[in-house]
Amino acid sequence: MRLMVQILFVLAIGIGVGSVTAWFSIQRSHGIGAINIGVWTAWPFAGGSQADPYTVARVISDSAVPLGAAEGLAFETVADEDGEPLRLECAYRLEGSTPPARLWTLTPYRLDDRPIESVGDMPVHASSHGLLWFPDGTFHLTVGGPPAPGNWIAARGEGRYRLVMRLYDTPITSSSGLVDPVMPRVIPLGCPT
Amino acid sequence: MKTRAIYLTVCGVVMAGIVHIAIVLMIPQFGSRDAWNLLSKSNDLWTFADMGPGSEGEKLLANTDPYFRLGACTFDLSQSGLRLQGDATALLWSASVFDENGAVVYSLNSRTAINDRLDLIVLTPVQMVELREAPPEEIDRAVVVEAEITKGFVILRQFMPDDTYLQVTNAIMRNVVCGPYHSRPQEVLG
Repeated sequence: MRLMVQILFVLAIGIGVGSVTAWFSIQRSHGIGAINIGVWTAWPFAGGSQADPYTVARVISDSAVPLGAAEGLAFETVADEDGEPLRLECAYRLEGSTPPARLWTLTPYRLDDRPIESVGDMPVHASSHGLLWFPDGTFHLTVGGPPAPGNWIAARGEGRYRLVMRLYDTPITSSSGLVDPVMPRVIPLGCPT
Repeated sequence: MKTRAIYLTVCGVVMAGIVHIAIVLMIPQFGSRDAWNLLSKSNDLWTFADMGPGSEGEKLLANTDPYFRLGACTFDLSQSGLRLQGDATALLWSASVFDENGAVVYSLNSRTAINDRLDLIVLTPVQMVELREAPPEEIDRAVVVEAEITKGFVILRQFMPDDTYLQVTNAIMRNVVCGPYHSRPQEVLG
């Protein structure tokens, strides 16, 4: 009887702790196989055959199709530069420039991967195609909050979200050591509501 | 008694480690939500499926870019190679060949393709040898890739800057052909 209790105790710890830590490290594997630029994180090997087991498991359980190296690289962030989680109630300004790319797109997603609904004709995502730029090649893009002059997208609603910036046809997937890549800052502008 | 409890906890932690590693490593084998599983259930082999708005495959894959129209084609290289062809377009497109586990085997974009035109041939090493024996004319214009895989899928991503490009994009996607490719030419006598 005592032996049974002891075996059950070991099994409970093993299966319980093992599966919880596995789930967490797959869902939140933000350090493994990743590169970080500012607040942004990318998994350059997510699509390759050299991907680590955590990244592979994450891609599979997300039903995602990662970008191949010749296609581009996706960066994402769930927090602003103060480390606070991104919230749909709040407004942010993306400021700066991106690594060289033929095209980039910026899309907000809810944490459960649902897209953010657009209200009327207001844009909910942006791309480098049709953006207002400063003469020095940098840009400002306001995300959320009331409609703003310049570049603005309407990521509005409630709850946390993440921003995904995808760089298409970018040399940083092949020559990351040559240049010091920069990504835009994510500056919090406050939460009006 | 106390040492016994510590001993059992250590056993539990060791087992937790084993369970953790086993789960992570078994997901590729037993996971059912991966792209290959979803695509091979909904699409026929050798059929290019436009996954645009209103199509069956629209909601199949998660985390897709709203600026891109996706199309997919599943293939099985055990009998023949794969050839994926499309019209030339100035709009950016990119494509990746995935194996069954969802790992990218090869990827290309419109600038790395020949004349911005999608013409991709995927062959197994054996089929590649057959192709080299008697190179057919079309391989001058196609991107020929050797891949040690049997089953897999190709995802084509076509950039669509805004809704005014809807008709152009529809036409591009309609004209994509995905089919088996036999490299062995007609037997030449003599």
